[in-house]
Amino acid sequence: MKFRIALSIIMITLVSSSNSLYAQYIEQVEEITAGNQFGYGARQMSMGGAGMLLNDGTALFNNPANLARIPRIEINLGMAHQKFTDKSSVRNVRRLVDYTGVITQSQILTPRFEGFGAFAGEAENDKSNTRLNSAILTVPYPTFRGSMVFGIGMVRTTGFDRVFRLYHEDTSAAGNIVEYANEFQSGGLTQWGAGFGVDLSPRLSFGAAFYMYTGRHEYNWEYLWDSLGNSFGKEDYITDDYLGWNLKTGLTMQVSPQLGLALAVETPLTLSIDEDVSTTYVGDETIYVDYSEYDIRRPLSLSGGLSLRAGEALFLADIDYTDWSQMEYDNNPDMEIYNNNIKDYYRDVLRWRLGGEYVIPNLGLSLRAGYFSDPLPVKDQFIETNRHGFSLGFGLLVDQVVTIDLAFVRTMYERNSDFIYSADYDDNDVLLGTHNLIIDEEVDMNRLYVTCAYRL
Amino acid sequence: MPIQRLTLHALFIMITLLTLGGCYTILSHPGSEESNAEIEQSADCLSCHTEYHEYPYGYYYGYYPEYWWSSPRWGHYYAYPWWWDYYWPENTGDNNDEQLAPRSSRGEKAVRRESLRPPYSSGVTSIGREGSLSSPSSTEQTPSTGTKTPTENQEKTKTEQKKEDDSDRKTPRRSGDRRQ
Repeated sequence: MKFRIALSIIMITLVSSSNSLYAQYIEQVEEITAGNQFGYGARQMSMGGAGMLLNDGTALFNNPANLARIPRIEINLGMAHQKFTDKSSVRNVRRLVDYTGVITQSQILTPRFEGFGAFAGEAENDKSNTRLNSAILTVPYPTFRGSMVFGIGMVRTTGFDRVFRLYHEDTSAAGNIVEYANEFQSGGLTQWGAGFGVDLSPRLSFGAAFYMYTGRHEYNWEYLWDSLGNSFGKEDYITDDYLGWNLKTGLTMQVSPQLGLALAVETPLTLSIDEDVSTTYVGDETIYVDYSEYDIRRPLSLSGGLSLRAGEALFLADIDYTDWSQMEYDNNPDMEIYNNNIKDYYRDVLRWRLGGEYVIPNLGLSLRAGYFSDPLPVKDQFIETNRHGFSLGFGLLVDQVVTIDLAFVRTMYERNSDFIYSADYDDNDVLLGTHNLIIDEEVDMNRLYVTCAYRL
Repeated sequence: MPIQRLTLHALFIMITLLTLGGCYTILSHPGSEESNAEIEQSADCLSCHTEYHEYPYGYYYGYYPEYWWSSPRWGHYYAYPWWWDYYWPENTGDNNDEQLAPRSSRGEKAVRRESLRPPYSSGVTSIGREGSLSSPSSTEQTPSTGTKTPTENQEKTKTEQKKEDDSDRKTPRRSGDRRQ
């Protein structure tokens, strides 16, 4: 009985003090725009996403220098379909996080709750979306020598479409603790670009592009909790509107007729975020609303690429480096205090992508495959299996003016995160610590890309 | 906006402007007061630009796979500049007979299945086994074959070439060897 009352008090405290509680929650700095590249252009996606040296309209976003290798006016349109599947399980331990020290300390305790038997709660959820992936116009300006090509267009650079479901149950003779939650996210970040590529010599090309980013992230969280006759339920609906801009420059060098190299630098991106929040509680008809504005600065990104041609075969390799621990909140003092948490939560990542293409000229057919490593930008302690995947695809050249490309990409990763189950406060309402559930997630993403390009 | 970020952006803009200022890429023929549009259509570019044959799609050092030539639709898609269809000023592409290049008077049958060929090239460029190109000589004309009929404008360019070609040899059909 004593425990039952204590648990109820904890939950009421959790709800009433949610703002101060989450202010200490390291995963509050999780930003969906960090490192979640969706990918665009079926040709490059079928080769593991290696596109730094591909000579199609996506060069505007991969490496503007390679625009110089497009000799004809090109209209490039693409669609993408994604099925996102998330399987979650709650570990049979809890993490007690101590906030009384200057530095947050944590330890693992077991079982999850004294007097209760832990039940391995597992849940699965999936979501499918089909969206416009790319629309790019490339126009070469007639030159007597060299090349000068302009491009304008958009790509869906980051996808927010994802789901998560939580089921947690602990049993005792007196009754059960049951938690059930659904997280539903949708939207995406669209990158609008305008740029050019120009030949500096027969071997060397330079390109630059200006990008604007717009997007909306819709986040829905439904949560139900029941224990020993007490129940609680809430629903959050959060929308974030994004706006930002940055620049990219690139160089492509043809070292030998068969070997090409590329380099690109993307300047830091500042995204201005307007956030609207509405929350409702079960049994309470009031809608609680909140609003905030802040900026997030994404760090500079460096990219490199290599291409090798031999007869009908083409081999591509890309790498890029971003130090996500340099990400910062800005223009909002309440958010800037999290910047230290960003350094504790994020890390630098090196992505690499490999792909190959074999052309059967008489059929107008290209067969493609690729593999990629796209590490999650968070520290190792939050990762079980890093994000990686493979791709397959083909392309058709119809007559001499149209290409139709199809790519299938499978991406997988496993990670863990904390879920704050309850919190302890002292008499002065100072947070002493939290009891966290540790949730493992196994994520699979199956994506299908279709791109059609018409060259006049 | 932090000063570092401004500096970075300014640096990018400076590099871009400097690059364009001293650019290798040129839009019209240099050293002539006449515009490119006034160069005679019968001019043989190779008489001045002897290295042109090494760059069949313009001055570019990259690799041209052999299948871009043997199946010219690949070369057309990936390498053939769209404005070469309009390279000669008289040819505006609107099918006005008065603007067409003079027709051959020998009544030769038009070449079928010819590969792509740059309009500035006088003579036919041959292709080595590895895709390397060799220039035509005055005594050796190497027909280029492929599997695709060139565009209408390319045919016109070919007609111009034949005016300078004294050979009565009929253009080979369905030739598989481009190094003869």
